[in-house]
Amino acid sequence: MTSADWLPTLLQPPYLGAIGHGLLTTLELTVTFVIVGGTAGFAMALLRAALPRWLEPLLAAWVACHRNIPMVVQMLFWYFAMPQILPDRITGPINASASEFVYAALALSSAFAAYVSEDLRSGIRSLPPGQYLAARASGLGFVASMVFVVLPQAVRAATPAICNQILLFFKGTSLAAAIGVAELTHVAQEINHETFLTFQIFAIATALYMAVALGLIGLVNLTEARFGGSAGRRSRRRRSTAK
Amino acid sequence: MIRTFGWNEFLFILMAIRWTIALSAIAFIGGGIGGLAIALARTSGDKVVRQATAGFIRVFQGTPLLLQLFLVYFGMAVVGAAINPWIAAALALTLHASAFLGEIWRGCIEAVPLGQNEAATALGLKWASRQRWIILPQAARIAVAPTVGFLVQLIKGTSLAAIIGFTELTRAGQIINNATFEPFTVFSIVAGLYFVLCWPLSLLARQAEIRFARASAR
Repeated sequence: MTSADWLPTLLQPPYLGAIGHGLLTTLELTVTFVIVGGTAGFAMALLRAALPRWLEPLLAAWVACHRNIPMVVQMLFWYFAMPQILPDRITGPINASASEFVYAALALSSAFAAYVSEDLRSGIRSLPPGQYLAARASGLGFVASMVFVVLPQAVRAATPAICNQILLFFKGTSLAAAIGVAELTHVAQEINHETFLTFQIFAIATALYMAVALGLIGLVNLTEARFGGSAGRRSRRRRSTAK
Repeated sequence: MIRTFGWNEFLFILMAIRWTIALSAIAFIGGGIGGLAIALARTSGDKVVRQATAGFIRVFQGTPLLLQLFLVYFGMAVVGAAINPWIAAALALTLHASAFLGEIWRGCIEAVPLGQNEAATALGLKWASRQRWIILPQAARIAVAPTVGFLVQLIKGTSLAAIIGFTELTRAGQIINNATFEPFTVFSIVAGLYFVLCWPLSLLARQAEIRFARASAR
């Protein structure tokens, strides 16, 4: 094959469709881990603030495990090892559907939750303790103080870190290829095997990943502007000058 | 035939850790050299050099490491070089580490107060001497914590070499799992070994961060 006719080849319906489908799967994985993992991470951060102190090392160990074990190994663990220890009642429905996708989404969500809870915890810690004490003193209970006073400020402080994690985990969705999820990287690899248009197909995949990453960054900037001007950095600066 | 998971299988996985360590070391040393060059280029006065390296960094930070590995691995075949997972993994991880360390160290160099550079220039030091004796020693102190933090990322990143067939820790786990069908045991051991490798470094990075924060607060 000459180098000139690569574009028409890759624009043929089967390849173009596969690329589109791969991109869609990548985006589906991303949306899933942001929603499921993000919610779980919030719950974890609240739990860490609420639970008795002796439980803290346990949760810290849980977070440390996710941070110090490669995502690929976590994927393989969820895909191969979890079905071995989970009851059939849970694995049955999963295996009946697209089990690779579900386990990949679970692996990403679980790890994302660990990172988010850690970022939120340092966000909570960066607040002056007077905020919480004053909320309690003015008659709010623990939950109300957290939800109305502490968390809104902690989220602002943690926003840049969490957005960074979203970008990292977005790239991490490519690791689902290791357990056979047909996301963008996997599709690119398969097309490469069929056409040997190595540089072209990986350049297309690279461009698509970068387009989504830049889109995510734009979205982040938009949200931060909505929040009242690049929330984390500016509010931190305000706090440090107020001291 | 299914093998039972025994002492030999465990040793096979355990011994594979040396390839993980070797690959990490090569990528870290190579990435250190490349990263230093990129950091210096990013902070240089030449606009073209600055923007070219910025583009290099953006591509490597904006795409998954797995994609970079595939590109180098399959790209080698297209260029006509012999396909070798060892070289492909080492090359891809070195490039990856160069981009990330370059960006980390750029921040550290820029964190050195501007007056240091101006004072050194006023004293008549040339660019190389300024970097060598004034800027980099001060930037290095700032760089310790994030660099160790990135080393953890890099060690975790070597696990992707398993996907192109390089037999390091993760691949050894996959091989044993295929032979024994004991995924829970196998992948718990693999995960545990990575944890033993990375956790002390994570603690070290956090400690360096705390120590530096205390030193600069004084």
